[in-house]
Amino acid sequence: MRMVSKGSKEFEWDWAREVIELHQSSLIRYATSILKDGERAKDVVQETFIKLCRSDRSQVEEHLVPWLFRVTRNQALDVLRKEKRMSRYEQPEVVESLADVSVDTIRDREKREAIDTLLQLVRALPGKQREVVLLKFQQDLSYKEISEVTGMTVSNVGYVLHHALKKLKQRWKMVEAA
Amino acid sequence: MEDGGGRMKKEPDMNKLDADDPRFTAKALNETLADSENAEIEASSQEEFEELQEFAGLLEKELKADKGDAMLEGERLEAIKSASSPKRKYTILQFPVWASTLAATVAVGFVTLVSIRTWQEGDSIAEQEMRNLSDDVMRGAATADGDAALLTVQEERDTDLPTEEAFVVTPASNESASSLYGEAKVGTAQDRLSELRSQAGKPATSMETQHPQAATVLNEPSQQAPVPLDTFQSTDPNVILRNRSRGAIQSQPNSIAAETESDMGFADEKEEVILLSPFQVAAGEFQRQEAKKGDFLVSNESGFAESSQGSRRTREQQAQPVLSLNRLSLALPPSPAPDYRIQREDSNREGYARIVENEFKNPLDHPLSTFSIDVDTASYANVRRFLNQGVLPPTDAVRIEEMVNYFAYAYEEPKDDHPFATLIEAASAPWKPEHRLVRIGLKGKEIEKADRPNANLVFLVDVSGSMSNPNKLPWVKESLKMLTEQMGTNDRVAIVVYAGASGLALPSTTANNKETILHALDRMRSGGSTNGGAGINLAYKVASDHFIEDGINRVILCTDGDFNVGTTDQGSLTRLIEEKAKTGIFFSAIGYGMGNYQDSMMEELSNRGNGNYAYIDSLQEANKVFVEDLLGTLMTIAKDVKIQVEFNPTQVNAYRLIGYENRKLAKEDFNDDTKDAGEIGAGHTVTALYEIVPVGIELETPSVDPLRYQTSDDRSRRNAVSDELLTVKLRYKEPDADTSQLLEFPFAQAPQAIEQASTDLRFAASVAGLGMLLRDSQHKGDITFSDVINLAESAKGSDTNGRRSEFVGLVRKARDLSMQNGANGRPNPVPSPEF
Repeated sequence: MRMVSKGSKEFEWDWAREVIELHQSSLIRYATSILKDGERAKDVVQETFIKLCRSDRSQVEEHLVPWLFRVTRNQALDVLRKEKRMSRYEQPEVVESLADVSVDTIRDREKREAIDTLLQLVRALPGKQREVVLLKFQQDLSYKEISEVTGMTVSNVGYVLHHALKKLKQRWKMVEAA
Repeated sequence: MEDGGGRMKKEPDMNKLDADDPRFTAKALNETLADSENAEIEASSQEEFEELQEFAGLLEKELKADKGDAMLEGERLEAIKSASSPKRKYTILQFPVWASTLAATVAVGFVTLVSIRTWQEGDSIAEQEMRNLSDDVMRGAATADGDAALLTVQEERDTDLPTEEAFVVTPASNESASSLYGEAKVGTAQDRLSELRSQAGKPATSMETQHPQAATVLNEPSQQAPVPLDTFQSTDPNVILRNRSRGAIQSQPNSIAAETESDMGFADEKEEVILLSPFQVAAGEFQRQEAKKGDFLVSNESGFAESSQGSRRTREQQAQPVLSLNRLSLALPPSPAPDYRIQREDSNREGYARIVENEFKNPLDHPLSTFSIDVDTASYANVRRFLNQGVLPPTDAVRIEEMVNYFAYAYEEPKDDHPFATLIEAASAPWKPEHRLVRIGLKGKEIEKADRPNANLVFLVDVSGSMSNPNKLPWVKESLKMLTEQMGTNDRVAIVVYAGASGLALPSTTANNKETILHALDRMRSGGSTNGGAGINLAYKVASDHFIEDGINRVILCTDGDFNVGTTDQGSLTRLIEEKAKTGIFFSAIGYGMGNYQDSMMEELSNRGNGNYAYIDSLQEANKVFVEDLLGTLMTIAKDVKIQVEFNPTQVNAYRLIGYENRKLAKEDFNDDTKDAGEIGAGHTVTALYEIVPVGIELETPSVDPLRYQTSDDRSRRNAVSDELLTVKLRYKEPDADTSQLLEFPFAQAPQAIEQASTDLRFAASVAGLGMLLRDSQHKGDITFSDVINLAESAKGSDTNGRRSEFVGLVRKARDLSMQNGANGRPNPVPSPEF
């Protein structure tokens, strides 16, 4: 066991401050995508930064971005678990799952309105796919970073992303054709 | 055929990628592939490849546009900053891998044990939950990192039954600092946690102790290690250091670490760093309550009988001062995270915010009790629904003040210019005759139907798929038809529906076109998902487009409350409603249906919008809300009504507000006109009950330790005045005013038995009694369902609408249910030995 002491407060805070400014909105957005509640997302992100401040900078810095996302994710999932809302995370956000959306239904005007943006198509993805897509395209994380955040293996990330994209592309084509 | 096979053995076309290969996608996303995987795109797939790249670009653009610019508020930053104080030292525990494996094994075993037990209790949700947990643990164990692992012990799910407590041991990789310190939350499982920990930690006995000088102990006040505690608290309010080994530590700072180490055999045991997140601070009350609940349950489980009441109390007392410190520095979220209790299957998606019952308070320490009035009645209708279905309601669905306020009381109307009259009465408490029950009753001015200002109503109707049940949308239609029938020619009605997409089903129409309105109501169909946010925006727009000066402008939401607020999160939704209330457009929430009913959300929304909240469990109830009480529902005659009661310590030994748990205000809020509070509608009655322990009667609830700097001699204040029991102060604003008016009512009354009290007080007391029994309140004394029935029977009065008789019927049902309790009772024990 060893003990890590921290450097001067000013120095650490300046650094933390920079990190916060740079990453807060991404993290809040990400936590919101899990929690569906902006205020609680902020609570979680606040907690992430507190953890950051309490961490040894040298240990965190190299993997800063995946670290931040991972801590945020774990906490957000904890919140869901506590509130027994995990099922909401796992299921597509669009209640009526578009998993088996067909060309016929997509021509249905009402449905089309509900899913006429790519964003909504992404929302209709199952939890894991949605999350990976958001991390990749909204947050610009690499496969490896996504694997660090979510605990999936890199090849699993590749697999999930591949299928998510395939599905999205296919549905997007249908929407455009309709 | 796998790509891991190495280059030598590869067949030539292994280096070709087609569109079905995940690597194809990876390459399209410019992901660097390993050399061995750096394959060519087959000519036939080239087109598809470019298409995919193009699509990826589009997706990125679209998602980035949605990125948002939410920022942490200044106070949150302050909280983070104060938490980054360098004064504290951190410990990284690096266990040999066998230690963490052992710990993981113990945890897995425990989790499994708990899963089984939980399963035996027949609670399917908890079971699933535990499976998730076990999975986590398994995964954690499987990925344990080579020679060193960081150990995070998290007490999981401290919110429900003790049997569900579990500990997740997550070995994390070295580089991940998410677990740079041991973190444990306060909760019910303290004792078991320490048991488990000491088991898990035994192998670590030999580990060297870290910075013993930091082993500040926050123990009983008399045992405080004086200096370190002081500096500690003053420099970092966010952290509590506490000792795990109860009572073992004396006030000798230097010996503490060693003693603890040998005691517990676990190097980390000597300190416990508790981070108080905003959730936790907000939930501070709730945790204390939990501790008590734990006591009760613990006594049922001999295995953990060692956790004594005393030790828990000690912890509660420890937590208190630090919690209050935190209030200064930590940003409290505007809405504390609601907590969802385990529900039975039929209601397993219903959400109720946890209610922590008010405790007795000593008027010397807390002379003032401040709360916002609440005219909501939803809880009673919801409880009635449960009982009529033959199940006892979940504890947190029972809000006593809403049950009491469901009934109209024959309070006298105001004779002066004030919009409401105040009537105070006292009698002995039926559940504890030596205590006194004080009722504060408010009666809003009645308004003649003809005098009602014109109304501009926008119905915001949830037509999402979940509303298709026969008791949801069809009832919404019926209710709104009833209401439409009450509208005059100068009133306006509009209907906004929302589901996946929101739309205007009926533009604002004057109410003389009743046929048009009724037709539009009939046309509403359910289907699609819910995006409440967009619908609310549209509803407010319609309402403000047709705003009637000096009229009733109101958005009325009809939903099962299962909101998918989409891009608009709940925070901004409540802010929107709050903003709009300031412009004169008030908000009402009417709840329908069951199964996924989101009570907490509905209450929150209506509270913010100067509105009321009712639950429709039958068409009769719809008639009550939309026809009988329509004026009260629609017409606010006073807003932000706050009550502050000052108790006279020469008369009152202790007091307790019954109900209103989620309406409590800080004493400073009373005079703060910017603080929102409840509204009174025309003709409404509002009732609040206090239970008072008169001077001379010992209070069973233990009080805090004697103060160090104030002696009981300071109680010479007691000689100050009079035989008055208390003084009720009220503040309210006229519906369109920004400044409040103050009313004061000192109250003195000779003690009288409950039997001599007015019918209204007796009846209100019986309703509170039922509420306390259903909540299994620790203050319920020796009252039984039969007592409640007798009391209510004696207090029916004229009961023109039959509601009081119906109440008596409900109490009978509750009595029968609690007698056969067990099979379908709720998870917490409902004792009724008297039957």
